[in-house]
Amino acid sequence: MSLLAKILQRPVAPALSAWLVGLALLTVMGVERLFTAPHIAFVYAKLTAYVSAVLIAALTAAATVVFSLGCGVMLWWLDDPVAARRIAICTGRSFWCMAIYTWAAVVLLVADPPQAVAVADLAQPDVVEERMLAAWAYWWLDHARTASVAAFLIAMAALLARDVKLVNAVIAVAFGAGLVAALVTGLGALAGAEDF
Amino acid sequence: MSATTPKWAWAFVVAAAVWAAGMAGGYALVQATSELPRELPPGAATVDDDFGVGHTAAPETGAGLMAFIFRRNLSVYLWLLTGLLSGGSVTFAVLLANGIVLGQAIGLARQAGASAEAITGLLLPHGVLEVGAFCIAGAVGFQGLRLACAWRRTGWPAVRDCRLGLVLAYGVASLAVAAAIETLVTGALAESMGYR
Repeated sequence: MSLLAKILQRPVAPALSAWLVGLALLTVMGVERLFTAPHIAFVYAKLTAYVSAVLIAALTAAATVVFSLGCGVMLWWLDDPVAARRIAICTGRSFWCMAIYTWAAVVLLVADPPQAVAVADLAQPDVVEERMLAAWAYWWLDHARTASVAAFLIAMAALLARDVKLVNAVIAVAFGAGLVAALVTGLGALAGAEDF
Repeated sequence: MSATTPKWAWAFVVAAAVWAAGMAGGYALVQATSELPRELPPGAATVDDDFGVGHTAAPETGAGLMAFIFRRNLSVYLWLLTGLLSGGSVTFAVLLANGIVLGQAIGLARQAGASAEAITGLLLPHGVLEVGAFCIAGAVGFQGLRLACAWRRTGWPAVRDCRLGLVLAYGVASLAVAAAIETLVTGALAESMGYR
């Protein structure tokens, strides 16, 4: 069986694929509508946005693996172990919360597209942020992102609770989330970012 | 050699190729956009005003600068290694992004009138160690997919094959020396060439 076929049969693949396609559409629609003027600043803004989107996609994959490992290790430590495949299935199913978020974002951007930034707007650095937040879609997305992560964690705990005690599932999910937060904060601090 | 033993040479070549592709892309983008308007309206923020939103500015000289460079490069190095947890996707994205940034920097320096000899002289002394270390971390990060497949068959030996201790020790040592060279040698060279 080819490597690709093996990957496609993994329990995480469908949700991850739906999320990836949604993220790609969301990025292209947002970036192409915001930066339309023929100016060097917008070319670099587009490039930065696309590279950032690729990095976010890759880092989310890594964060999901670290989260799953964290859950598994904590359950093992709590003497309530679950098979690795079962944790992968729970993660894959919970990940639909993130996929739904990206597709909802796509629909909202179609319904309420952001106004393009003009070269003159660059004189007011806050104008882009204000314009994005003025669009209902972006305001909603800002809050929905947090809600989707919360839904992911709750779904994960609920699914794990079918195999282990509820309290152990909640502790495992909290530990996994904490591990991801520590990894991102640690590497962010190492890079010198102030707002990680 | 077992079926799960990493193919280091190939992985290193792939990592170097991804980096080189990013560099070529970054350089080509600068060339392709050279005719676009660059004038910014009065009051527009520039890179000099803010060294990247949410990031601390680099210290001017000395031990502070060396530590700053080392921390930044070490964080890139560690991000490259997280490819082990994401099937190599983080490694691919980070290599490509850093290659693009370097290619852009070279392209912009060329446009500003810097000679190829000057750029080579400024980049080569520390760049060989830095980029070499990144490609080694990339070669390890690209083992993520193989590791995921081998894990179920061999377990911990698959992780031991990645020689993470040796890779980390080499990365820290190599990047520390590169940071020292960049601060002491490249800085002095840039000053003698009239770039500082």
